[in-house]
Amino acid sequence: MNIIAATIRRELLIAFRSPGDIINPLMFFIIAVTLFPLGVGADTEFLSRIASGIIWVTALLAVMLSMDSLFRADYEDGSLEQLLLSPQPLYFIILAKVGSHWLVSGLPIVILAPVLASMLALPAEAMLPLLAGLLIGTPILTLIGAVGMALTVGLSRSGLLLAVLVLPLYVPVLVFGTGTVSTALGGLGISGLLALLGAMLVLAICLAPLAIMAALRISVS
Amino acid sequence: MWQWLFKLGSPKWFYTMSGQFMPWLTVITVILLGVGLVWGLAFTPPDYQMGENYRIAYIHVPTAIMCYWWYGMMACFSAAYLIWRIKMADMAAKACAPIGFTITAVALFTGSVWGIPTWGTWWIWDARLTSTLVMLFLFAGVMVLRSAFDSVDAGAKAAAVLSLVGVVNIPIVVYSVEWWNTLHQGASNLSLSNTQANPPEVWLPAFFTGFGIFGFFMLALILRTRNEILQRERRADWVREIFRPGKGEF
Amino acid sequence: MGSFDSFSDFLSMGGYAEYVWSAYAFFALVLVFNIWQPMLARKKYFKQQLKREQVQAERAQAQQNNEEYGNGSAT
Repeated sequence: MNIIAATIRRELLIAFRSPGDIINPLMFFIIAVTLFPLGVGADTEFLSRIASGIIWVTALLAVMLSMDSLFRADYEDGSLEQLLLSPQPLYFIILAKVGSHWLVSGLPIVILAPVLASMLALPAEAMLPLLAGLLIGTPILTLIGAVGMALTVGLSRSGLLLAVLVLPLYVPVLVFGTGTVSTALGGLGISGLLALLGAMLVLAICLAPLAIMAALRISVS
Repeated sequence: MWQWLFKLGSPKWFYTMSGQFMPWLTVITVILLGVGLVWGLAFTPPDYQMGENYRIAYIHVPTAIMCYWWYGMMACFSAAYLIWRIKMADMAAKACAPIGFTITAVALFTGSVWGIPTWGTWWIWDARLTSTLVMLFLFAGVMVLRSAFDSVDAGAKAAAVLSLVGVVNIPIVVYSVEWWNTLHQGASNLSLSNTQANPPEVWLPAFFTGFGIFGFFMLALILRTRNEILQRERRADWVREIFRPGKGEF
Repeated sequence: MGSFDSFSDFLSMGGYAEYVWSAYAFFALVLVFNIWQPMLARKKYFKQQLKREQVQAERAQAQQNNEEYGNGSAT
């Protein structure tokens, strides 16, 4: 338990030392959401119908873009290699790293979402389902993104490769996340969908660190 | 049986065995495909609703089903490579990806073309078309990731990891897209597999084309894997024998 | 014979000709490509490798000649 707490503390400390890594994805989230009304028009009735989709897609993209700060700094100064060689349980260290990354990138998105959603005229009764979906969904996105990041961290000119790898894997989270809003607006219960999302989160927590470990070993070698 | 499996891991054995086996496979494939296509195109009655257009099904349905199984096969090879470090498995996995991409492309194209008179549009966010589109992206991702690495070994392992991550995701994606589709389409969705008790004379040719197409793509897989073997094992004696000048026909 | 009255009927596919035939054409294209491309790659690779071996053999031959010649002129 100690190692997890220590890792989280370290990651949060590092994150707050470079505020850009936290602020930039958030700024992207806000600006990208703002682009949509500019692109499709300010008709509130229309916006309210696409609001949850806009929030979800931009949140997903913001999470993916924030992944760069996850392993890159450690890779470049060699501490990632040290981590892989250490006798500490790598599985939990990775979980702690990804978890703290979510705390500074995914969670702020969830906190900001209500403000942006109401700017997009999202109906009031859809707000709670949207937040619940994002709360469970953004950790899944972070975990999947971490797998992609671990695979590409060693590449010099990976560019948008991470997007190509990770976005198709984001599809179920997006579908069920926006689905919670649609079903809530349709008057039906969302507990089933949230349970599905929760199951996906559990699956991701169990399996993603394994893939990340394998990928990190490849990238570091 | 384990003996045979171990042999399969030897590039030289695979190369020589496949060289002998390929002509037979070609003959069988051509026969199956020929029979299926001629039968399906010319000798089955037209569909009550869709007229002659349904004949596209004889190639669309096999390829649409096969793209998923092909990805599964690629994932099996990847797993064998990661777990037991069998190089042969990676060579086969590498060959699978571009072929799988083309299989998926055929499924999408034929499905779209079928859709134009049926739904009035060449694209529809039907559950199957959307899932198959995601499958196309997954194949592309594996190919792109492998080529992004300078080291052949690292690229092979990375592609293998990605294939396995993808294979876990595929059932989830398919399920989610189906669910999404029923949520948003409602009753207007004309499912492509809406076969209402077709008589065997209609769907029997599909068996022939199905197996014929599978044999065909397996042939392509063997061809690509053989090329891969020649490249990777080029320092081996038996490969240099092949390339010795004056050896004549390969 | 078959379910069409005539060959031109078969070609027109009950009015759906452009759909059925474009689908089958794309399919045929993909099949041909999947076989042709590896065969072409193999031929190219063989040419390249045979050339390489030839150059190496010539080099070895030249080396040998040089040694003989060198030995001869030394005496």
